[in-house]
Amino acid sequence: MGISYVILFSMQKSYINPLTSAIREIVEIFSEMGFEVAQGPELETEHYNFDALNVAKDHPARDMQDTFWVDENHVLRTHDTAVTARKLKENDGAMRFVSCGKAYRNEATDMTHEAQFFQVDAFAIGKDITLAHLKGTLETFFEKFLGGSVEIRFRPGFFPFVEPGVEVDMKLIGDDVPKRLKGKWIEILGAGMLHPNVLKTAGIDPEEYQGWAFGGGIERLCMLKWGIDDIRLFHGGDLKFIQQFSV
Amino acid sequence: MKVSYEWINSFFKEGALPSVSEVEEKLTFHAFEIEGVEEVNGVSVIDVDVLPNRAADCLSHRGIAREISALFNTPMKEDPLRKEINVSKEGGVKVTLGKDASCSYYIAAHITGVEVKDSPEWLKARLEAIGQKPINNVVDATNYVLFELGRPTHVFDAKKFEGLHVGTRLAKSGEKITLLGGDEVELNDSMTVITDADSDKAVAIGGIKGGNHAEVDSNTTDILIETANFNPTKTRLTAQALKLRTDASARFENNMADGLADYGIERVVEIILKIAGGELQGYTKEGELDEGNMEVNVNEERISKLLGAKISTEEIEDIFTRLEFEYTKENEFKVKAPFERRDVNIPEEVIEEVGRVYGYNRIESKQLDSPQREGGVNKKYAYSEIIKKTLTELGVTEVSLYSLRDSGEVKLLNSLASDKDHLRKNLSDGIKESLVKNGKNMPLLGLHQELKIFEIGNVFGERETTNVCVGVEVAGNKKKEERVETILTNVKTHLENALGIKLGNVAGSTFEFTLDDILEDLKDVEEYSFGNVVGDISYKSASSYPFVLRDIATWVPAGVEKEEIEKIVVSHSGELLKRVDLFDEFEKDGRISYAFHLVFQSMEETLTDVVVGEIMEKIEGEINGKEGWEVR
Repeated sequence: MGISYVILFSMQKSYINPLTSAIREIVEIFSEMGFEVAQGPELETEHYNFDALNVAKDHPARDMQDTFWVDENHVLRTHDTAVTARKLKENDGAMRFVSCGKAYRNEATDMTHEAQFFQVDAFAIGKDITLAHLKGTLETFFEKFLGGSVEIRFRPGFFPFVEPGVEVDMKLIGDDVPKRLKGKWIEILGAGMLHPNVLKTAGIDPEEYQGWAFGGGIERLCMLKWGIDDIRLFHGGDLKFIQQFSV
Repeated sequence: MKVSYEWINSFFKEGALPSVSEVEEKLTFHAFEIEGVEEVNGVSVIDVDVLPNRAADCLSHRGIAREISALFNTPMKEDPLRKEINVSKEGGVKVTLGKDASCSYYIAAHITGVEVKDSPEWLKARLEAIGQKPINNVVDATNYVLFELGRPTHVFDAKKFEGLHVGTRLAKSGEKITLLGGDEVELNDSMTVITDADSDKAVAIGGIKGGNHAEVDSNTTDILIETANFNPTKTRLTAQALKLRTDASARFENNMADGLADYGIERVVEIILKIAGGELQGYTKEGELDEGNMEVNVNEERISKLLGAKISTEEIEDIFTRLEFEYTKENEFKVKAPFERRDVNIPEEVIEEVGRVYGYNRIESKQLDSPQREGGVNKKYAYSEIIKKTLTELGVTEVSLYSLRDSGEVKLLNSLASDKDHLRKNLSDGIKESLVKNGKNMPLLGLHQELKIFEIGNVFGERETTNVCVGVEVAGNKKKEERVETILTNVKTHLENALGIKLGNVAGSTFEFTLDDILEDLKDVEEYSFGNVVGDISYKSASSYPFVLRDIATWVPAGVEKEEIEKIVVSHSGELLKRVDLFDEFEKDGRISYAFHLVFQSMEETLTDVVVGEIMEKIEGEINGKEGWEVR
């Protein structure tokens, strides 16, 4: 009873929306590693959501994501990677960006699927940025975000905008790690080296510059971090849920 | 795709194929995710999630066997795609390819005198293990080759054709065809059909499914086997439009190699002659096969430079050999993948092959160097943070609500449901609904006087903007509007101070403004000032049962702390007490009055008055039993 006694009587608390808290931490961690914050529209052009990311009109990969269409040339972005495409186009040379934003998929909802969700996308390009740097960056990120010590593992994956493409698993070890996560491999992100077509479309010479990109769901990161079992809780606006997340 | 371990094993010398778990692990880290392994009729069946870029060559037992052979560096006993083929015997079938039809190559075989009956047990067993239902030996042979080589073929009853003449053409708009199995579908003029050319009747939808007109049945003696190359995109669009994604269309839409056609038909003919008898009259070919894969130039240094691991020349060459890539090395590698691979066309795709076979787990992690470019502050994000911090400190709680609503200025072309087919035009509508929903739970939330929430999110009208909206609800009806307005105005003043700018007007229970519109007028930010993050919490699911609110007011002697009463409340309530909130306290004549809201809720059931009543009786009993204490 001791613990809940304390909880019961601390009335004047501030509550942080878990998504805001997670995004804050992500931005803070990546800022320290030299990443700038990027944002872009949710109602996106077909160009930035698909074409600029090497997903041609008739590419079967367009079927991989069930897309909400607004008109013939506009969609609700299906991934925050559209922001990556914009930043690559806007800038030249070496750059690092992180973006956290809302994305949409036209699919039935259940405990692990939502029609709207937040994604974190980051990329780093330079003259010698490699898959090894992706591994190192993700280790640093997850160690700071989840605590403990992190192992990162890549498996072959396919995303049209990267080549090679990898699926990223992580494993947490250490004393501070929650039991439900400890020592287990968890599938967490998709990533890879930016496809030369993506760089070319953005006006960047793939012979000179190369780099990695990754993307993943923020709700999923929150669910892992706090042991939440239902993704639908995040956007229901129910304060019973949000009040769990106090400073 | 389900693959049978026993079937895979038939491609290797006895004892050469590693165990199921070794295969599973190797594929997982070097090729494809494994969805699961199950035992079917005593055979291990592995569900392999073949990646889209490998669907052209790996949606088959041979494809997976080849992959295993490369990854374990274990040769296949015999690779059906590496043997000589001979489809040169000319037959009496005539094939006419329609000009507009999306069929670039067609090969037909004509066999007479077959006996249609059940397939032999070994063949039935292999199909059944991967969930396919045997039909008859002739049809099963085509199905078998589909899963063995990944090559769809189709078999017709030759005598149901008017002449031995097959055609392809675009369907006519509104043309109907009855498919195998009896379903009738209506076609349009972008779809390709196979015809009995003399009558022009459609007998199959190209690359997707056969019709019932020339169906093989138990009386069939003469057959016509088709293998043709259909345009991948058109096949996919037709399958989508007809909602008819078949094992055949799934392979066509993934752009499998043209050259597979001859291998496929020869194999089907071989099996049918073996298990159904008959005599091969010959083959007829129309159209052209593409030239196959091109050489790709890859700089050796680039391989290590992209992957971030130093891979030796010997190891790279060994990987090429294992993958059966033809290669030469002068200044650069010139690499050509075997014909059935369609995914090795640019240097990076060669590098991917090297990387995955080498093993991504052998790449050691490295930290990024300091950035070359000075990272600026994103003003919009910085101000969103300032607003969130200001509001949170005022006890306003942030919510995230849905962007898809039943009305708005922007409508979706395709939507989940009619109440979610528009993009929100403001945040206020959602915030108001959220106030109503959360308003019902105010006591449970410990918000006995006021409920304050906000959202920052994008809204969609003429343009897309990021808006901020605060909403307030208060308990009780007395002077409600006034109280709401006072609170909102107070919140607004705090925001104005934090932003250094005047904001618009409060409207009823909400206050909304467009961040993008004021951004230019806001002063630049040097660095982010992040608000707090969630502390060390232990998350628990909320109860889905209703709560019960009871109040209790007490007189106690002066000097008694409120915690003493709270302890009594807790001790009699156990797990059912969600909150105890003091809402009134005053001293009079040497006594103190404390009044509390008590909120009860169960995780397991709806609480009854009886249960809560008993708890209250015990609490009141203990309080009244103390010297100088009394429940009012």
